[in-house]
Amino acid sequence: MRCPYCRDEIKAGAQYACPACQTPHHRECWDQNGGCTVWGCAQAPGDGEKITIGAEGHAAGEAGLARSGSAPPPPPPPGARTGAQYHIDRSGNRMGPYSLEEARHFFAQGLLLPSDLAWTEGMTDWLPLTEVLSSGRRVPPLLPPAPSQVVAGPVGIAGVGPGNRPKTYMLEAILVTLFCCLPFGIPAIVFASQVDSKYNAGDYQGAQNASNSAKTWYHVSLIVGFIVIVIWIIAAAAGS
Amino acid sequence: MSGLFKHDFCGQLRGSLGRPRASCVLALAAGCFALAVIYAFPPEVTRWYPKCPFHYLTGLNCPGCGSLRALHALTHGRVVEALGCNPFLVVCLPLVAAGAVVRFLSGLVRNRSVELRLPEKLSLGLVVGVIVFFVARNVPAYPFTLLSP
Repeated sequence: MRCPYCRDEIKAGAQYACPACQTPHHRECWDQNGGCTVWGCAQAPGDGEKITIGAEGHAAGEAGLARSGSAPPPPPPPGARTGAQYHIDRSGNRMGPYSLEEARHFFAQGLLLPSDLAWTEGMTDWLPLTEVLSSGRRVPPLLPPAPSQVVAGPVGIAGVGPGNRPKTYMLEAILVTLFCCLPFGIPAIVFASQVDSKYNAGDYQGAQNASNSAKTWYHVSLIVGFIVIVIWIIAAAAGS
Repeated sequence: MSGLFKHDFCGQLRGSLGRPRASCVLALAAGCFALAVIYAFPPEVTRWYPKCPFHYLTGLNCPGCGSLRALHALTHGRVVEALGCNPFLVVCLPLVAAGAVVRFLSGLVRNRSVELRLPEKLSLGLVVGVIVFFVARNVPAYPFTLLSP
């Protein structure tokens, strides 16, 4: 995607999304412009607040020209960019990353909501923004879950962590052992039983792996069993 | 953290709208159809019933051997005969039924399949039980032959 200020490609990780309209910018371009480049955006600078650039001569003046009256809220000072980068998630929309200072600033302006979730490297899980702003506490690092991933019904396809148990597939494993008449159901039962015991021991990745293995053996059993049944029925029909 | 759980649920709901409900109704229909077929056709005399390939190839009894006969007996109310065909199935049946009911109701009512979670000891018991059962029913000595049809 292209930065609306300089029109160059924004490399992944270098983007800075406007907290009001989520348009990605380069951070340097955001600073140079003094805010959002999008015309009419609440975070766009008014006249006189932009930093002039000199010889490069980008026509950044259009952004503030036609607006009259209302003073836009001031963007956070450039020095506030430092520190841990917090990603924000609002019902699947990713914003930021912002530093704690910036996030606090946007929250005070009402651009970030108390119901928004925040995550930074080192956190086990997404937390409500209010908690992060008040405590800034870090927890021992584990893989971050992704609450905005689309899940197809059962718990566990989204990232595994506290509050998000992987499926055991125990019911499927038992049924497939009893009816597909092949020993492939037994490894499925074994892995299915491991999911909960690993999860309760805190081994979230191991629990997810066990869940995946149980699912695989269950699928293998199902497919091989199905093929065998079809072959059998055809053979029986042909032989009669 | 309650806010996080609510958020997760809504995200899942959006991603799965329609599917758990449809698939659990489908599963119920398929299950009923299968039970009806097993009730109507006795496995011993019906030729087009698939036989256990593992037994056919090795002569051994896998944990599933006799399950069709056991189900047929159960649908006709003959529990003792079912135990003689496949005791593992009869023992697991309440668990399977409970798990299926929970999945079905949660899928229908909340549009999200919930898994019934067994306590760890029970899961472990199940694993040990199925392996012991697999071995025991193949022992040609007297008491163990009761485990096979």
